[in-house]
Amino acid sequence: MRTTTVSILSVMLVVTLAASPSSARTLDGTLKLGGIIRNQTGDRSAVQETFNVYDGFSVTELLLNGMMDPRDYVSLDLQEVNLDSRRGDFVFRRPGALKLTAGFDQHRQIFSPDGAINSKRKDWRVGAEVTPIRWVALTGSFDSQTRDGDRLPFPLGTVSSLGTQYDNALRSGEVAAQFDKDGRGAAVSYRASRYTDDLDQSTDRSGQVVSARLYSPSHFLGNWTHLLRAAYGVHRLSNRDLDYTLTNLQYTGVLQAARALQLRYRFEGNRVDDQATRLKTDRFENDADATYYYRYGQFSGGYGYETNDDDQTLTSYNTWRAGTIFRPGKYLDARVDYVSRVKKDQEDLTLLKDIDASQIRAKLQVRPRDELALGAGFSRREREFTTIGVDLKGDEFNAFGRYAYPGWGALSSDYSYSTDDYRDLTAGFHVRSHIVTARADFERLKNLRLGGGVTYLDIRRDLSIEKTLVFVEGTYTLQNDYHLEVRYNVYNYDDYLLLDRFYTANVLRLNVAYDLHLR
Amino acid sequence: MHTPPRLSIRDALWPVIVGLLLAVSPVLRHGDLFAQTKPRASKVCLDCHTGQDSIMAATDHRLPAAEGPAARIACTDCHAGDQRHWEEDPKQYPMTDPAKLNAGSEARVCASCHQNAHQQNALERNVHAANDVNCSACHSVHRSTHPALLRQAESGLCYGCHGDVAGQFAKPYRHPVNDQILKCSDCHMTLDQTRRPLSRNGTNVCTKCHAEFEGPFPFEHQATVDYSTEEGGCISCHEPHGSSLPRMLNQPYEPPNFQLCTQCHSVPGHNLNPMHGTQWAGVPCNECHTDIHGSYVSHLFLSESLQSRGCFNAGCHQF
Repeated sequence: MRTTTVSILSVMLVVTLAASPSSARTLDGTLKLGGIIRNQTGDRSAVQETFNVYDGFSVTELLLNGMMDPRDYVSLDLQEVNLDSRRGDFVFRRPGALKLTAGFDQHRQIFSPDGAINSKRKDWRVGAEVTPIRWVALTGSFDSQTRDGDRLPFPLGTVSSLGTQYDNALRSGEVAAQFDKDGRGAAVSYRASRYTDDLDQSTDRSGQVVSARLYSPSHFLGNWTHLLRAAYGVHRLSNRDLDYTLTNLQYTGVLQAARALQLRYRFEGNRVDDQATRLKTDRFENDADATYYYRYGQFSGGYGYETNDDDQTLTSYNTWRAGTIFRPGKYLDARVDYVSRVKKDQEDLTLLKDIDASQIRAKLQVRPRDELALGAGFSRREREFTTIGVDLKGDEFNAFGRYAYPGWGALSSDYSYSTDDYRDLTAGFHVRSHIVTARADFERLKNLRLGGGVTYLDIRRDLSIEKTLVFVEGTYTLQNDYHLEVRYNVYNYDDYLLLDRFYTANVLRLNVAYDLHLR
Repeated sequence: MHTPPRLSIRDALWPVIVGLLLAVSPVLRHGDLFAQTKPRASKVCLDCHTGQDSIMAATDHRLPAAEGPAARIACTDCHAGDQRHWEEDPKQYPMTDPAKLNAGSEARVCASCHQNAHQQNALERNVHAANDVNCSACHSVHRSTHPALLRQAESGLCYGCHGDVAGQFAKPYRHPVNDQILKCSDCHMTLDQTRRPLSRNGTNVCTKCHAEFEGPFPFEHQATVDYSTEEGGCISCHEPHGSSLPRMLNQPYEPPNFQLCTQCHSVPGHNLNPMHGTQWAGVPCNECHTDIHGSYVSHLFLSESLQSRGCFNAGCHQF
């Protein structure tokens, strides 16, 4: 499969180049070949970063960009081609006329400590966009996803009645036509999908969606703009006479009432007719927003009202939004926004009853010099299920700094501290997290680029998890177009409480890179 | 009990459709929004801005060999000004740099050619437009080898502003964004899809990859369907960016409380009841309620295999 993937994508590139006049071809790119030496101990499912680190030879990268007269462009990008994973993308483009794309991605997930329980995921995609005349674009695409492998019982140690394996595939295709002329336009699309499960055919299903949108004129091009969308879809279980249909209509209008004042209204109507529940759920949403712009920023505010009616229960939502941005120049940017959303169970029939939720965010960024940026932020999320006695609260503080010195390199660092508190009638769950990331790049020395970084995560209170990722890397230019790349990673993970496990890995990546220039 | 009046789709849509037609009709009679009055030039620009044609060659903005009214693109399509800039004094008569304009003004320049769904969505509650993030903040229109002329590859581009989200992707259980298997736009840019309306809480974004949960199920779990009146959708139980808990759960699924479930369900009978005593106290909920995303056989999401335990005998539980 690996050979097939690489071959198909490479043949596309070669054929495309061969089809062009030889007098006007250029091909630039990079080829990186190398290998990985990995030493690991502990639970292999603990650190996702190493799931696809293949211990052995690898085509680390093959990047080719070709240009042909009169204006065609072709690109092939293959990455991490090895026995476990591989990725590839192909693009052919004739600006204003044609675009062809293809891509492939295969990777794996590891579920058990020894890595024996794992699964493979493969994605294929192809697409085309044709522009026969300037104001018409026709597009088509096809995607295929396959997921097969072992299923891990959850929680660990139990026996799952869902079986020990899964093997399913989703294939979908879409065609669309878009018309844009003189600032106004429309688009229609049709999408079909099919899901199949080789181990349980009772789950096979298909779906079809037709949708359309209409705008006049395009946003930003008039003082009063309109956008209308509509969609209709059906999802059906293949082996049973059971489906659900979805219908949707949206309208958005924006009025530039004055140079400094913008008004916006949005309506959405939605119906889901589910034969399984025998319910028709109608949702209607109305939103209005106003934004006032002034020399140093803007003020905005809005209100939304929403109803959700499934024939048995009726809920309504009131949403309030407000925010401001203060930006007197590029050296200072400050912003605050607040939103609250209140759900009211009109008939007291839903399980969760009434809900109050809100979020406030504040952010400050200063840029005293072009090469230096400092910032800090705060956010608070609150959510209260008033009747059933559940409430959640989360705070987050973060700060960052970036410094770039041309000719020398760059430094950057981020820190965040977050608290998450959950409480219900019987118990609670509380977590405090510190996350630090930092990176340094040094490019002062001739032919040598150095870099390094760290990510540190510390989660406490009802959990006790520490995770550290460290890397150092260097690229040395041996001679024109030849480079030697070295990257060393350390992964460390300790869970002292929840699953009581650890993982440590040292990974050394060595690559020789060659820059291609063909004329 | 008083029953509030219910709206039907027909009742609600008629006023909207009529209002829309009334609103659109005068707009359709407007003149050509793109009436070309400014000069179109490219070659003269390269006399001073040497090398720009080579820089742009690998992009969709590659300058055509011929220029004039029929040319596909010209420098002056984006850089507003007039011939005094190159004929008289370039400093006294500068051309505009769209990248230095605010979000609305630059978008207006880009919209003269690009009127796709990505731009249309700025009409709605697009957080970038609302926060005055202009097109050039993400797109490098002269030089980029990344898809969609992005300034740098995702997710690094997004982390530049959303540093707090980068921290969430450092958590033990997360989507493989940092591994380049997924991109931020795989989930967040679905606004661009014309079919986007068929979702409320993002569930149709999740089922793009997790197709096995898309349904329909003969027995739906209200927590998983995004049209639910119960605040449903995948994020009712999962943290999509990253979580400290297995399966990216947003609450622990550990004995004795299994808070993931008890945040909505108060089930004291499972812990102590006349028939079973405390037999089921502390037992994971999904040991019986196996098909929790939706079941093909049981309205309680029970497994058929439980029949062998005698749970469904007459007079006991309804399967």
